[in-house]
This record gives sequence, C-alpha cells and structure tokens, in this order.
Amino acid sequence: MKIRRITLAVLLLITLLFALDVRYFPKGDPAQREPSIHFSLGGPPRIPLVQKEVDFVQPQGAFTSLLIEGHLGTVDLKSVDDDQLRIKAIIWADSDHGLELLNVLETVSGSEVRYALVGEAEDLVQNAGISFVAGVPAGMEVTIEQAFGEVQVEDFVGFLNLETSFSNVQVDGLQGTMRVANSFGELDLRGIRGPLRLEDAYGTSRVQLLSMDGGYNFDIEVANGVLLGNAPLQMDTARNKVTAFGQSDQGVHPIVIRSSYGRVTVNVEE
Amino acid sequence: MASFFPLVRKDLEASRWPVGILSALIVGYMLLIRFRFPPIGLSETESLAVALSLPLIFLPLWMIWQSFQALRTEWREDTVYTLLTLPIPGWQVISSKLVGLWVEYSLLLGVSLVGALVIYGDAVQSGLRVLPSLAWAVRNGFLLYLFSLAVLSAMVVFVQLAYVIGKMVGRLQGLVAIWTLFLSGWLVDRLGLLLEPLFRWMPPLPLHKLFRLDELKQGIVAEWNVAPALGTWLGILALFILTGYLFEHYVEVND
Repeated sequence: MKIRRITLAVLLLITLLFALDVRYFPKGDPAQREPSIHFSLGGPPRIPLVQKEVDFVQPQGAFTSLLIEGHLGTVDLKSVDDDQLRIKAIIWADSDHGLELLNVLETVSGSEVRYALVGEAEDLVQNAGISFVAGVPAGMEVTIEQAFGEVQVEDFVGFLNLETSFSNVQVDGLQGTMRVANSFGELDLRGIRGPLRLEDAYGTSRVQLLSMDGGYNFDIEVANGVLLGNAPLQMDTARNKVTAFGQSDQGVHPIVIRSSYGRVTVNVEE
Repeated sequence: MASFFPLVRKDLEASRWPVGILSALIVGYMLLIRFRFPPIGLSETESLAVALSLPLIFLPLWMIWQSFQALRTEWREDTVYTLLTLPIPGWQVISSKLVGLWVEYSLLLGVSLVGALVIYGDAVQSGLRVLPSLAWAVRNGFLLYLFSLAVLSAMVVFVQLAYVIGKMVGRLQGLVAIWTLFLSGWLVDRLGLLLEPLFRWMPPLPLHKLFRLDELKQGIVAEWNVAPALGTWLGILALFILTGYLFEHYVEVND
C-alpha cells in the first residue's frame, strides 16, 4: 500500500507543479515558443536588412520592349500617359558590404531595354533581393521574369509577358495581349480585356475577363486539375484531363489556357 | 525473452478481428469514394487525397483506443492474474503490447496505402510523376513511417502509464487515468525544456539532407533543433520504465 500512496502523492505534487506552472510561467506555453523546426524556401530571408534605391529614366524613343528580371522582391508595373520610361529599383541585402557589391545593370539591345540585379559574385546575388517599381508608356511590350516574390500590375496597356515561379501575381486592369508562364504560384488576373495565353503548373489561376468587341474564343486544357467559372465552355472530361472550347460573340480574341496539376477559374463579366 | 514473443502473438491474435474489420471498412470506404460517390468538382488526385485523409486521421485515434484496450482486456478477461504470477518482467508485458500495436498500425497503414495504389492507380502514378523518383518517394515514405511509429510509441506509453496508475487507486480510476494522461504529456514537455541546455551542443538535424529535399527543389532548407526533443524523449523513456515497474509490482488486480 505504501507505494500506492507514494504514487498518489507524486501525482498530487505534479498536479501542484502544473498549477504553479500555468499560474507563474505562462511563457512556457508551447504556442508561444520558437518552433524547433526551421523551414525556408529559396534560402535568403525576405526581410530587407539594408537597402538602396537606384532610379532610371529613359525617354521611350525607339524602345518598344522592356525586360525586368526580379528576384525575391516585388515588381510593380503600371502604364503611364508620359513618354518616359521610369524605373525605380530597390536592392536589399544582408550587410552594407554586400549591398556595395550589388547593382542594377541596364542593358540596351536594339529596341529592348533590360534591368537585372548583378553582383561581383553569384552568391552575393543569391543572398540579396530586388524590387522594381516601373511606369511605362502605354503600348510597350513588357516582360517580367520573377522567382520567389510578387508581381503587381495595375492599369496596363500593351503587351505583357510574365514568366513566374513560386510567386504571387496580381493583375488588376489590362488592355492588350497577355502571355503568362507560371509554376507553383497564385495568379489573380482581373479586368483583362484582350487575348491571353496562360501556361500554368501546380498553381491556382483566377482569370476575370471583361467582355469586349469581337468576344473571346476559348481553348482550355486542364490536366490533373479543376476548371471552374462562368465562361461559356463545352467541357469534355477524359481520364485526368478536362478539355474545354467555347466562344462569346464572334470569338475574335483567343484565350488559350494549358494547366497541369492546378485549379483554373475563368469568368467573363460585362 | 523467450516469453516475449508468445505475449506479442497473444496480443496480435486478440486484435485479428478488429484489424480485419477495419481493413475491410477502409477498402470499402475508398471504393465508395472512387466509384459510388466521387466528390463533385474534384480531380482524381484530389479525390485520392479525400479517400486517404479519413483513414489517416482516424488511425492515430484508433491506436490510442487500442493501446488502452490492450491493457483493459487483461482485466476484463481476468488474464492479468496469470500475467502477474508468471516470471515475466513488467516492461516485457508492456513492450509486447507496444510491439503488437506497431504491427497493427503497420498493417492498417499498409492496407490504406496499398488500397489507394490499387483503387487510384492512375492518380497515384500522376502524383509520383511530381516527385523526383520512385526511390525518393519510398525512402521518404519509410522515414515518415518511422517518425510516425515514434510518435505512436509516445502516445502508447502515456496511455499505458495512465491506465496502470488508474488501476492503483480504489475509486475514480477513469478520472485518475485521464488526469495522469494529461499530466504525463505536460511533464515530458517541461522536461524537454529543462534539459534543453544540456543538449545545446548538438547540431541541428538537417532534414533537407535527410529527406533529400534538394532533389525536389533547390534552395529548401529545413533544420530541426533536436535539443528540446531529446529531453522529452528521455522523459518518455523514463515513463515507460516506470510503467513496467508499477505494472509488475503494484497494480490492483481487482477492479
């Protein structure tokens, strides 16, 4: 009987310790502790420790094409009424020394102008990031290459090419032609007026088309994924692939979507 | 150790029917989801995830119940008298029940996975194409299985200790058992925190290397600071030894 009494006494003692712990050591709460497993995707931290800004202003002149190579940061793009090409680049790194060795390279090649982050060593670039704020004259062709970051496009008029991976893309208002190649990211394309070609893998894509003269011609294939929305589509499901065709009005403007392992929503609104 | 395997066999024989019925239910559920009531608006791969998720969520709960049941049966069928009179250490009795539960868990997990493979063959193949290779999937699946066995063992140790402590009191056995279950979880958690400084010298475990995550995508870094976990696992081991000792010497045979 003695050991049973001791066991019960120990149980009561632990109960008392538990009560004291709850009362006086709330920081011991597991929810408030630093997690013991640290997980990072893409390596470098996204919090800018030190940063610098570089501004470029170019008269549009003979330039018809702009290429922006983003890395970890945000690319903000907007069409402007101006005839100047205005680019603000924000470079960030984990130390002042690293920041000194990084810069933005402006390359002009024929009618194309290109902006990219460069450093004295490749690992410097890997451990840094860059964001762009771009205002471009309406009608230009713009290509954005972005990995591990965000792309935000607002009221754009022209030709837009997006090549993104592991990035969130938000387009709010586009008149013109758009081509997107995306993997492992979220696409939210709203207020689109014009032809679209979208290639996506392992992503979630929401496309909101605004009705326009001539209407749209849809050609959509979704493999191992889901196709949703109110677009006027004739769908055919065979094995793991959904094939959909359809058109609104005369079906002048092509909407071509190829998706695998993704969720695609296509809506057409007035 | 000669008496250990007969004990394991006895527990496995006792769980034969429940495992058989549960296996049939898992396969039946998958067949229903696949052919009779496929989820609307979901692809076949997503449907596979739905079909697998219920058994995988249910399995740990079932194992907790079975770890309690494995000891309870000894009292219900009065076999605990024989167990306590035999020259078998208490730790061997509770270890045999733990091994029996490992086998039961492995069988049910195997039925779930093989069932998914057979019933959703195309979707599984499509899913495997996303992964670097079949060898990578098998290796990482095995590592995850080992990890889940360790977590299952911890749960079983808590339940066994709670049951044995419950049997040491004359009244309110159920309440005492539930309170012991809760307290033992809290105790090993705090033990992990207290002993953490002793193990700080240990380098973080590079999970990205262990699971070869670079084959999935370059740049993934996952590291596990094992120092707090080591104290916790030492605590669980101590509770296991304590349960064996108390079971052998001090449990109340009568309800």
